Amino acid sequence: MNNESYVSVELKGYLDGLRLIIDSDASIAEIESAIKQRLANLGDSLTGTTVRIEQQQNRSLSPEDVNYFYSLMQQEYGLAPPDSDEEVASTPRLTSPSNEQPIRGIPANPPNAPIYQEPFSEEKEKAEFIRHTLRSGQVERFLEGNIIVIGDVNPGAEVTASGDIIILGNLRGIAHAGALGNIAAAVVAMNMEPTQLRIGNIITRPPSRKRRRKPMMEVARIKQGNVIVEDFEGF
Amino acid sequence: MGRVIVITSGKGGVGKSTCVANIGTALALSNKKVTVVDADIGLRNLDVIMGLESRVVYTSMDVIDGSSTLERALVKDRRVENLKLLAASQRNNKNDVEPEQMRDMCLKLKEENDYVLVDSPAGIEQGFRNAASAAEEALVVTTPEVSAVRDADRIIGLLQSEEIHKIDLIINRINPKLVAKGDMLDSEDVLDILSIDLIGVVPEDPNIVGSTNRGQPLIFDSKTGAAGAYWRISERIEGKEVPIPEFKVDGAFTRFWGKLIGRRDGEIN
Ligand SMILES: Nc1ncnc2c1ncn2[C@@H]1O[C@H](COP(=O)(O)OP(=O)(O)OP(=O)(O)O)[C@@H](O)[C@H]1O
Ligand SMILES: [Mg+2]
Repeated sequence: MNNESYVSVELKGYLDGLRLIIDSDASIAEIESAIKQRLANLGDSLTGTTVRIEQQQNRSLSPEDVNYFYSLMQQEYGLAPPDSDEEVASTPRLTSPSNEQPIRGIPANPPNAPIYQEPFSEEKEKAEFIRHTLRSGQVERFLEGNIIVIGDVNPGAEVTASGDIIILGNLRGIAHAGALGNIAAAVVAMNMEPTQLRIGNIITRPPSRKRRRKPMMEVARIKQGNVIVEDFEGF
Repeated sequence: MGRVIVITSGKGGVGKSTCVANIGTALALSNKKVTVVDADIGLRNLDVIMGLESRVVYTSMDVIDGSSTLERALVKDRRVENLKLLAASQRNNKNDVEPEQMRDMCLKLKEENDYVLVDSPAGIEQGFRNAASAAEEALVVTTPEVSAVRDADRIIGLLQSEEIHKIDLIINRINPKLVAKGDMLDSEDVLDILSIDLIGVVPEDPNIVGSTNRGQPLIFDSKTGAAGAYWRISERIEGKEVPIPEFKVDGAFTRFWGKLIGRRDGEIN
């Protein structure tokens, strides 16, 4: 065995599922054991999630190897390969780092939650505007569409909509989009630091993170039964 | 016509009454006519902090039920011209007063004073509404603790729904050592949540306790530490441009950065 061989297997969550990013010049067997190691303690929390293999430029796995890894992940961890055959055959190469953000939040896994493909709510027509900061103890509810807050949602405040919630400010309280069960609803905030985020019937709590991260516009929505937060690049 | 300013907090014990006593005294020492009103009915202590307890004969309750005129109920502070106190009854409770009654008294006092400072009780119930009833401005006091900031936020929301829109923030009991260690929220953390104008930062000061016990507001005896901060707040209330120092561990202070003071529209540079 070559002791200079290098294996890096990274797992990241994106809007369209997981990506397994392989960067290695090692043998197939070594990559396989690295994948197993990476997936070992995930339990069944990701069952049914789509996973896509991506490779760094310096490594070219054969389509057979890629297919072998897909079937391995499917059989042992319940991860589904991307649905188009084409994608299986020609694994995309990672040429530049993606600017999408990996999954944050605690993956909630409601049994039998339908997986919507349409990411945004159908209640697009109606919106309620809140033109001030929602402070502790203040609650806004709109069950006929979307809510747009021009201000912050502070800790202790709550905003609930049957459709999407758009916060042109800091989200630090609780936001509940799709409150009538629309799990295609989304929460958008200029600075996403909620106490709790609820979409449809899924409740998440974000991981605690370093203070004073540079704020950026982000969107949270459900994908494959998990709440995923990513850079917001428009509806 | 003067200004009616309510001093309030949400959370109890954060230093409202101490602020009222010191800022009221500072304004009076700057030759303003000031009346401080204790709206903490049932738990009066502004008179104690100001050392006027033994001279209280009538309270706002007596004015309301007609046993005293407003003029007669005011206790004059002998140490400084133009400073008076309207004490709260200890026998009654907050629900014995209606917001309109409090409002009427404060509006009368407003005619004869430059400043009417109303010391609000903690909480969000009727006592708070009474205290805020005549005010057009508010000073919200908080300590740099998450729970106090949360309650301050709540109070700010309530003040805004009472149509009080000039709301300034006092951060009390900043301890530079704890901030440096990262154990205490700093002013920027607090402002980030509350996003209102900061009018002063008062450091934790061991001399406060003694001054409270003696009934002699610290401002009479000192121009540094907390007393210095109260002085500067009184000057800012008067519209003067006084920078807000950043309290450093070594006791020296530098000025806050423009980012933070920029919130008071151009007041401090
Ligand atoms: N800057 C300070 N440094 C040290 N101690 C302080 C400071 N400010 C207030 N204190 C102390 O905190 C305690 C509470 O102060 P104070 O009575 O003014 O608070 P309050 O908000 O009026 O309370 P309440 O809600 O009960 O009316 C007192 O013991 C006081 O001496
Ligand atoms: Mg008090």
